[in-house]
Amino acid sequence: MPVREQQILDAVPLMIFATDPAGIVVQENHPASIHAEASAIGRALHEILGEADGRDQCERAFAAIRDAAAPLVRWEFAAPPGDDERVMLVQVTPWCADGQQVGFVATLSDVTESHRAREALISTGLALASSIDLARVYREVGHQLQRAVRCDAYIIAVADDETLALAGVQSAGFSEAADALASRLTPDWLEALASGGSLVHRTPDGSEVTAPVISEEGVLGAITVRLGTIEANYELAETQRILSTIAAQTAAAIDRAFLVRRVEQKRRLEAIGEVAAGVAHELRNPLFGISSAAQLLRIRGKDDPAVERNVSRMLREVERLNSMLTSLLGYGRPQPLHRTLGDPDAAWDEVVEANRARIAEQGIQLVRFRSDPPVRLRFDAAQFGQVALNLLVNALDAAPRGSTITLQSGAFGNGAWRCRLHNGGPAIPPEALPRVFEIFYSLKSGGTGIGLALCQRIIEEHEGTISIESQPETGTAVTVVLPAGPAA
Amino acid sequence: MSMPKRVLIVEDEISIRESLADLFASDDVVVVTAATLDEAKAALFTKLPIDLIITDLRLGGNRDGGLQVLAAAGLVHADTPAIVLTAYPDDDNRHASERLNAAVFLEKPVDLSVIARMARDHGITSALWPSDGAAN
Repeated sequence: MPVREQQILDAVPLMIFATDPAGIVVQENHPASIHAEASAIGRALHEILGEADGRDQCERAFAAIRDAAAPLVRWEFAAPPGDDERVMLVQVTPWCADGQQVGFVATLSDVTESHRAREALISTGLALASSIDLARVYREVGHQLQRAVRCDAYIIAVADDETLALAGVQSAGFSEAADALASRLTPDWLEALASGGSLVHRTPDGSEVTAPVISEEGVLGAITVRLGTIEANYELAETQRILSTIAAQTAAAIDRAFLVRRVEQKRRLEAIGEVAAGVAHELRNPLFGISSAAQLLRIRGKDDPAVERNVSRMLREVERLNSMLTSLLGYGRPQPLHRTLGDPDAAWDEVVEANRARIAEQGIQLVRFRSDPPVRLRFDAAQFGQVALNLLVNALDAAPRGSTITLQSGAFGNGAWRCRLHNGGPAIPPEALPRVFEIFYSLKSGGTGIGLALCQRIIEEHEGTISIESQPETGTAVTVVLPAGPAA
Repeated sequence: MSMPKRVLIVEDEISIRESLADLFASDDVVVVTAATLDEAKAALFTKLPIDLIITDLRLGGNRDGGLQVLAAAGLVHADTPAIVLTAYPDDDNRHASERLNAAVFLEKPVDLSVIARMARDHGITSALWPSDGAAN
């Protein structure tokens, strides 16, 4: 073969063999990128392939081409047998000279990378489809990322529900600290989320490819992988394509896991509520027994101040127990919402008015900024009044004497309404903050931990949100958002 | 001296039953107590008059035992006022009690003075409203 043609063939990153009609190699190339142990000339093609059932496979290919049953035959095999990580592609075509078939041309290429990517995409899809646990989803995605895109580092970032800040939930290979990494990559994450597509960012350590994780529910996060050894643009493009596919699968899996978690959470709370309500009902009988006995004691011993004093204590505690039971029942046996069109600020007015005496007694100044003009939305005024009352009582319990409580409300463009009740009391410890809406979790001495849980339940039934923030310098604020509500 | 008034107390919880009996115990009132539906029916179906019925709704395992007491009372003592006490004050129980002519439907725990005042309105004295008519 002329030297020029030989050089061209040697530059191709595959092995090419020309054989005679019996399959014995008569010519070969010497690819610069592939190490070949010895010349193949004079050996049978199937010996060179090193495939377990290579002889049969080659015979079938030769026969098909000879009989003109197929213009070319391709197959994949794992090579050498036992090495589980290499996948080779063989392609056999006829070799013709002057219109006559004089033999075969076979090419042998290493398709391990794309084979793995394809396999990983399928197995990621399968694994994610059956993962309902978020931690497992993240782990699985991380595992498949490393297989599918051959990255040397990756990070899965998820947006926080409340703050929407993106933070890594699973990563490997990056040397930076989590915070530093998140702040360095956040611009890429935001850009990918904004554009809805993947992007490439070249760094001294390699190319970082980022894909957004977006579901129908909205923005969930982003995935970034770092590729240290990418040489060709087409490989980069392939990586972007694979990463985007995995990101889409991830989004669907996260959505599903969230949904399952919400349903589980709801079921758990319903079960707790049901038990609580059952117990609360049953406790009213003995409570009535105690209060009746105490009242009779008061009548019979009315001349004895010690009796009167102690009976009063008993009845006060009965009253306290009874109000706990009432709120337990309220939590455990939720009343269906009776939505009517009204102004939630008016519901606040009633609650504030009913607590005037206590506000004055604590020397507290209650400052109000109301939504102007007033908002009209469909909500359950009685149940919202219960929320407002609980929030105000909490604020009054926390606020120092003579301090200011601020109640601010305003409207959103979409008809929703927001109110924020702020007090300057001592901050809630950061570790306690995520738990304040949990049932039976209380920071107050004598608190039952029902109030805020009930508030959350009522607001969520309105499809609104309730959140709390607390800091030593600024105090504590609870924010409630009520949507406009369904049309009448 | 007039005939003593007769009060029927139907309640399966012993502390409550005894406290209510205590509330009315005097020379002017005869208290009849029942812990079960059968005892209550036996008390209702004597020929003796009854001036006030106080009944719990759940009697032991019988969820609407109190409603059956009201129904039985309606047959033989149609004009006797009845007070329903319950730890399960749901709307169904409330409506059923109203249809069975209960005078009031009270949620446990109840302030005894509420029961005593209602009794007095029907001429029945109690530790809280003794015969001189003044609240104690």
